[in-house]
Formats: sequence, C-alpha cells, structure tokens
Amino acid sequence: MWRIFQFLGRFGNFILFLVLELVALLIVVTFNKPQREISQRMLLETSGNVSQVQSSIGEYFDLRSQNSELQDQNARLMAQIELMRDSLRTIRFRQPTQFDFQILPDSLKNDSAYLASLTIPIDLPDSMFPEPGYVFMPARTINSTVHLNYNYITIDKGRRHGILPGMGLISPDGVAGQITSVSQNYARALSLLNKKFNLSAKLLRNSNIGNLTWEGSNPDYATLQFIPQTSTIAVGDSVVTSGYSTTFPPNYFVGVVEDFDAMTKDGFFNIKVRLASNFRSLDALYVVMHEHRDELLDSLQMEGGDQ
Amino acid sequence: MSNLYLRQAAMFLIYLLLQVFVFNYFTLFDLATPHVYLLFLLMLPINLRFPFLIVIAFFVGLTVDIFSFNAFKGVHAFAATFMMSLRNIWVSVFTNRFSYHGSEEYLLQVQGPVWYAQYLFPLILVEQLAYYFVEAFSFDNFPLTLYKSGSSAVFTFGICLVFTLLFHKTNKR
Repeated sequence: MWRIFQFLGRFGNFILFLVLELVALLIVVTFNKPQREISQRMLLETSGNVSQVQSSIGEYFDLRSQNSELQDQNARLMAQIELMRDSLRTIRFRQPTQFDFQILPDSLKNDSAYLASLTIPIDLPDSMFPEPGYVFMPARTINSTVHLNYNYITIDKGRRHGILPGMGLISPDGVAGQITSVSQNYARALSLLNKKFNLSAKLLRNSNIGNLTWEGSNPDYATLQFIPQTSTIAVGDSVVTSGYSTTFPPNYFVGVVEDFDAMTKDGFFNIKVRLASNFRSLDALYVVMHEHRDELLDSLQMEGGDQ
Repeated sequence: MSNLYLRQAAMFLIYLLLQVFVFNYFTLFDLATPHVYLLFLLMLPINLRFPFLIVIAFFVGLTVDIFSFNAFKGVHAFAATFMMSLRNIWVSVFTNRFSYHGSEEYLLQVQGPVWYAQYLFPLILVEQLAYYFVEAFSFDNFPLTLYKSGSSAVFTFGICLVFTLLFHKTNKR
C-alpha cells in the first residue's frame, strides 16, 4: 500500500496530466465529427494490422478445412461449366448455320416444325448468365463476429485497392455484407448479421421483391419481409438479390426458404431464410464493384435534385 | 485571501466573456485567432502547485470550449492543460538569470519586457501548436498547421501585450 502512495507521490503529477489530456482528447473525439472520423480510420488501420497478424498465424491451422471448402467450390463451378456448355449447345441449335442448311434435305429446309425440334429448350436460371459491368475484388477476412447484435467484418483491402464505402461484399456461397468505412489498407463492412443491415431480395420462383433483415440471435437465419400472401411459396425456394442497385449483382444467392408463416395479419408472409454463407467461418470474400457505379450514383442524385 | 480568490474569479469571467464574444470572431485572413484567455492562466500566482495549475487550466479550457460556438469542442481544454504543464518548468529554466520578484500581477513593469516576452511567447506558441494539431488531428497539411499556429501565436502575444499595458499598469507599486 505504502508503495502505491510512494508511486503516486512521485508520478502523481504526471498521471494527473495524462488523465486530463486523455479526457480532453476523448471530448474532442466524441463531440466533433471530422476528428471522430479520422480517429476511427486510425483505429481501423491499427486494429486491422493486429488482426492480420493474428489471422496469418491462425491460417495454418485452418488449411485442411479451407482445402475441402475449395474442393466443394470447385465441384460447384464444374457443374456450372457443364450447364454453360449445355446452354451453348442450345444456342448453337437455335441458330442453325448455313452449313447445317446445306446438309439438310430440301424438304426439311423450310419445315419450321422440324427446325424447332432441333433446338433443345433449357431454361437456365438467370444467375448462370454473367452480368456485364461487375468486377469482383478478392479479399480475405481478417476479423468478423457473429455473436453480437451489430456484427462487422474487417477485410484486408482498402482505399488503395479502390474500395469505397457502400460497395457490396459477397462470399462464394452468398451475400455477406456491405462496406461502411475504409482506411488505406483495410475496410470494415456491415455484416448481414447486423440489425442495421437491409437487403432488397427476391424469391427466384416468382420474382417477388422483399426486404431481408436479421433479427439477431441466430447467425444461420434471416427474415424476409413484405412478400405478399397472394404469391405462391414453398419451403426450399431460393432467395436471391434483386439487383435494384449496383451494390450486389442481380440474382446472387442469399439463402433458401426454411419456414414461412402465413398467419400474420398485415397480408405479408413472415419468411425464415436459411443463409447460404457460413458467417462463422468467413474467409475468402469478394468486394462487388461496378464500373459505372459513380455514374449511376450521380444520375440518381441528379434526379433527386430535380425534384 | 478570499478577496484574492474573488478577484481571480472576476478576472476569469471577464477573460471568458471577452474570449467567447469578442476574440473568437477576431479571425485574421481565416488563419489566426487570438486566445487571449491564456493571459488569465499565465497570470496565475507562480507559487501555485502543479496539480492545481493543470486542473484549473483544464476547466478554464473546457469552459471556453463549451461557450465557443464556432469551434471544435475539447481542443482548448487539451491545449491549455498542455501549456500549463510546461509553465513551471519553463519559468524555472530562466528565473535564475532574471531574478524573479514574486509578483505575477505586474509582470511587465516589474520584470521588464524581455522577461515578459521570454515567459509568455514560447508558452503561447506551444499552446497554439497543441491547439491546431489537435484540431487538424493529423500531420497531413503540416506546413499549414504550423503557419496557423505561428501566426496565431504572434497575434495572441500582441493582444496580450496590449492587454497587460492597458489593464495591469494602474496597479503599479
């Protein structure tokens, strides 16, 4: 005890000085917007550095599961390639070349019923067609949480890589979040598992647009609202992004309908969606960039200004 | 004794009102703003102990912050505390050479202009540097911040000099 008093006697003045200065800085950072933004950026940069060291150590212990994940992804991609091939074949059959006409007997050349039978109608889901204008910047997760009400994801790409606040963030499985703040080398994103997060999503079955939110507690499920009870819906239906903004590419997978409740009185379903991304082990992510993003934003703002 | 405290409180009120309603709007070329209330802090009795000094400085700065409607909050508190923590050290650096007569009220008349400038200007400069660097909150635009602090310090010092000549002259012993 005496030692403590001695210590205080010797360094008390200095400690008092430090405390007062810290309080003053705290006031500066709390009550003024520009200084708060700068300090948040600095905090993000430092905590990003620390988390990167942490995750680079942890990376080695995780290689096995990452490997199997990559294999799964490979398999999915192969399946997609097969589908694409099929669709290419149908396209070729739909537009018979001159050569095809030459080897056909004359009687069949102008028989439209026969020509139609050559085409193989395959209705590909829209998501199989690449959307023009989107660029995906690969990034790694260096920090993410699932247990809070307001979860955030930190990634190892920042302003230097062209990332801006408002861009979408997707995992190979589904939608993951949206960038909120960006420092030189790191960016922080609102996770889908955040009560502030709001996503315009639709049912692939009938293109009904709804609003996807997360209600907290369970990182596997989210809620889709504002799908009218007049539409048909079944357990297992796909929920995809609506593509109403350039934040996410249209028809990107979000999750599947796990359960729905038609007993609400407001005329809308209360739909429980099982999320496709596994937020507990996010690793490889992609930041969604759109080459005409600024242009679109500008035009939207101009429309708003005219009104 | 209590008369002295009352006098100090009245002085504080006067300096505060002047700073908040007059000098905060005395901005030269969008660069220099005088912080004349520092004169109150620098005129505090020299035998006050360090903890009192910085606590007083902190709360004076905070009061100025709260009532400065056109400035960022908390910056004055930081800068004033920083300046006052250096005051005693700075005084002890040269009190040996210029013998100190113990009366803070009549600094200029008793100690002479050299002592006055040597005492006041570096402390004001330090305060201004702290103020503008905390306001900018980064070292980008380093020359501009330096320029701002320097010009403000010169401006503040000039006005402080006028103040001392005007208001602390009549009490000459």
